[in-house]
Amino acid sequence: MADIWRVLDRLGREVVLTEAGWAHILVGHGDDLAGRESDVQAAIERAETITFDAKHARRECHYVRIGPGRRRLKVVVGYAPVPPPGTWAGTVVTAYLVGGVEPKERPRWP
Amino acid sequence: MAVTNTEAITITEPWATPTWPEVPPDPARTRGGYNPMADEVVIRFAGTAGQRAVVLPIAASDDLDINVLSADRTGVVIGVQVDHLLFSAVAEHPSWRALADPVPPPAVVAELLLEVKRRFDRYGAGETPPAIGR
Repeated sequence: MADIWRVLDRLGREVVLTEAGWAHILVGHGDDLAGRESDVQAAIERAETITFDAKHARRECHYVRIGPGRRRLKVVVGYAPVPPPGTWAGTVVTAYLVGGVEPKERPRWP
Repeated sequence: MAVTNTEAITITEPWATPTWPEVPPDPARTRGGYNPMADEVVIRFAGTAGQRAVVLPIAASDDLDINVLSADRTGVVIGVQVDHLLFSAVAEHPSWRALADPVPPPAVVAELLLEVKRRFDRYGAGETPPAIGR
């Protein structure tokens, strides 16, 4: 599974966007995000808010404002432990535009 | 005379006030599909290719996380999205399991659209949907 990019999130964890993951995202959100892999990367590196997913304990949602107005890009990342002990890394599982941070999600960062 | 610099900047955001399409979407002519990594299904209506959308949650129960795709420039609903499909949504709607198939049966897509429309008409959509029971 080839990588499109690997970056560090706000909490210093490595996050990867794979080609397979990107293909899955474009199935539903291609009209919104085709060609915008760098925006997704920016949402990880420069997230304004990170929340815990409302249902999955190991998923977190990264939000960054995009353009004028209230729209944000939401990028959902699944995290898993990796060596050495105590280290976590993530994989982007989906991304799309939203109107704001979902109130059902608990704050993670800042 | 006091000089003030208070130029108002108004940003119109039609997506924030979504409306259901006047022509009902045809469940047999949709695009999109299931993302197994996210456990998310996105259904986009026919004739909406190239339109950017903002995903807005609508009131749902503990098991259901359903959203409408509000067209960025018009606010017309151009699709729907269900999060946590197999993880929780099928507990309330077992038939929705078929939405994860490569080609979902139109009858099941029709069920989904009916449920989303029912909740949309009753509760609307927005950034802060009310929490409701089943």
